[in-house]
Order: sequence, then C-alpha cells, then structure tokens
Amino acid sequence: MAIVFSGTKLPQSQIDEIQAEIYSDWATFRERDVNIQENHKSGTEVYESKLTVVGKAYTGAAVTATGGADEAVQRSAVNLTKIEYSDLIDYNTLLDTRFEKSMKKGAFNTVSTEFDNAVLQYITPAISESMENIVWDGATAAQKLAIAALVPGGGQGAISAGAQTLVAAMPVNLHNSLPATILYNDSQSKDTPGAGLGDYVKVGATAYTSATIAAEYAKMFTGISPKVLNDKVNPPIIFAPLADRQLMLTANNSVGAASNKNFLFPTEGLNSKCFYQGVEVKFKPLVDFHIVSPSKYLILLFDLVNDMNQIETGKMSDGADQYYYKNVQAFATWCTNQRYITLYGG
Amino acid sequence: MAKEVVKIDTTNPFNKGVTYKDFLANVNADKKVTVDSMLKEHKITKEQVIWLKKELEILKNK
Repeated sequence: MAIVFSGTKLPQSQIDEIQAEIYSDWATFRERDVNIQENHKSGTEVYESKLTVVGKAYTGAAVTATGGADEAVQRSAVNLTKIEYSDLIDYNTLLDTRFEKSMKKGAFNTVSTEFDNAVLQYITPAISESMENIVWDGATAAQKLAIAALVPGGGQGAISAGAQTLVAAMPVNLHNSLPATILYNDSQSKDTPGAGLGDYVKVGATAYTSATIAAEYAKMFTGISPKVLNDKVNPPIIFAPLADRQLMLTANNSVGAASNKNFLFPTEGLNSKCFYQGVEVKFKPLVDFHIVSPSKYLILLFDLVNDMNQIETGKMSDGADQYYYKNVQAFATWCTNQRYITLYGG
Repeated sequence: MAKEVVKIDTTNPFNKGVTYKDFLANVNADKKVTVDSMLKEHKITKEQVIWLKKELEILKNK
C-alpha cells in the first residue's frame, strides 16, 4: 500500500553550529598599537613642549637672556565624544525557529538561551570591530567640510587634492579617524596654531598593485624624518591598509620575474609580523592613507578603553516584552608632534 | 623690526605652501607659459609630474 503524505515537507535536521560572521581583529585596543590614554571624562588637555637651546661664547659673567633660546609649552584642549551602541531585541520573532527549544515553558517566556549564546555573544566583537573602523577611517560632517575647504597644493604645507577626495569618500561618523585628525586639527603646537591643516609630512599617493607596492613604500620610507628613523626608543611604525598584506606577499612571490623580497615576514603563516626596511608594518582598516609615525604620537583618549566590553542588558519597562542592550563609551583621536608624522596620501 | 617677506616661487608646485591656485595663476597663453613649461623649469621627476597631473585632474573635476 502506498504511503500518502499531504502537507508541507520541512527539513528534519540542522547544522548545530550557527555560522557566525567574521569580526576583524581589534588589535589597536588589545595590543595598544597606538598611544591609548584613559581616565578622561568629557575632555582633556594635551601639553607639548619644545626646547630650543643656543650655545654661545663663555664669559664667566652673570647669565643673561639668550637670543633664540626658547622654552616653549603649548596646551591643546581635546573634547571626547560619547556614543552608544544599543538596540531592542524582540525574542517573539524567534518563534517558529530552532530557538523555541531553548525557551522556557509558558507563553511569557520567549528568551532563547541558545540565541543569547550563539548570536548575541557577538555584540561585543562587532562593537570592537566598529570601533577599530572608526579609529582608522571616517570623519565627522564638520571635519569633512573643514577639509574640503582647505586650498590644495602639491608641496608640503598644503593638502593634496587626492586627500580631499579620500576624505569626501570617508563614512560620516561621530568621531574623526586618525587620518582625518592628522589632516586637520586645532592643536596649539603646530607652526600655525589653531584650527587648520595639520603639520604632517606629505607623501603623494598613487594607486598601486603588487608590482608597484614596493616603489610606493620606498616613497613612504623616504618621507620619514631621519630623526624619527633613528629614534631607538620610539621607532616609527607604518600603519597600512589591511589589503597591503596580500599585495606584499604576492610581490614577494612574484612568478617568473626576478624578484626582490622587499617585505620581510619573519615567520611563516598569515599572522606573521611584517617589516619594511626595518620599520614594522601594522595592518589597519585604513582606506588608501598610510601613517608612518612613532606610535606614541598617535593618541586615543578614552574614559575607559574597557567600556568597549561593557554591555548592559535588561527587559524594557511597563510590561513590554522586548529586551535591550546598551554599550556606552567616550573617546577622541588626537596627534602630537605632528611634524614627525608622515601621511602617505596626505 | 619689520618682518622679512620671503617671496615663494609659485611656478614650482612642490614648493612649500604653494597652492594649485597660485601655481595655475601663472599660466599665460600669450606668454606661452603652460603647466608643462613651468614643470620643465624645475627639477621635477617624471613620477612627480604624473602625480601632479593626476592632482590637477582631480581638481578640475571637483
């Protein structure tokens, strides 16, 4: 006798693991790749000093003021911007899915522990990835306008038209990324103090491939101040876009052509460190800009960097069945000793 | 003491502080001054010329 079935056929098994999205590494905060300063609530002051000394003929007489000698200190105020990551979660939308099985009995009970453990646990990594992106790419609407209003030029002391195009294409965020801050800031320690173009060293950028990446890095290297390059205590670091790792590896392994291994990867595997002419390269979610600087001059000011991992959750009030999560943090990007920062693409 | 005024040569677009506006203001068809003629006057590498022309193109399309 034939089996007769009527109704909708449904899959009767599932892959246990819920396949999660990839979340980028947030090494900037974890490994403190730049200068992270905490304990600032809403704003802070950054002081920079610069001494000029002048040798003169010995007299043995009382000391008098020396022309040209200068003991300067400047104060810049930096405001932190507070942001939140938050949303509502309505577990009722999970009814009729696998997550029902982890809900307690009773129509009131819709919280799925499986959903919490398999999906919501990635909120923190997602926030960290978002923060990493904000630090290296993006600008506030006001910063974009200010940079667009600068008068471009080819030499030092003027922004390139290419940089203005890159900033125009940046996402609009509530914070300025490090490149945006380097390009335009109101530091009192610049040659021309106050709001305006940064004092960075400009290196013109050109689109490159694996065949030409070494030439572009040579330009960056040339743009580093010899004083910075010879500073053993605070060596410079090249902060480069993530995709550069692929181009470098491909360049190092060019097929069929005579090849120079311009980029040193000391260990095998994709997590190897990378060096160019002795300068460590760190890969960040930068878009086209490259920053070459001692890490201590690139500053992230935080109330508490661990705020990134603090999430408050709970049920909404007044009988609502939704739940919420909320993460709050306050931070700002800043840069000091700008004349020693090289900005490729600036 | 009066501040010394240093005149910057704006025909070299790579001089510090020279804007493209300053540089392009020198172009004069009557005197046969063009972008190329100005670039030839200075020690500018081929690579710099390519980069600069791209910059001027971006500027033109703004």
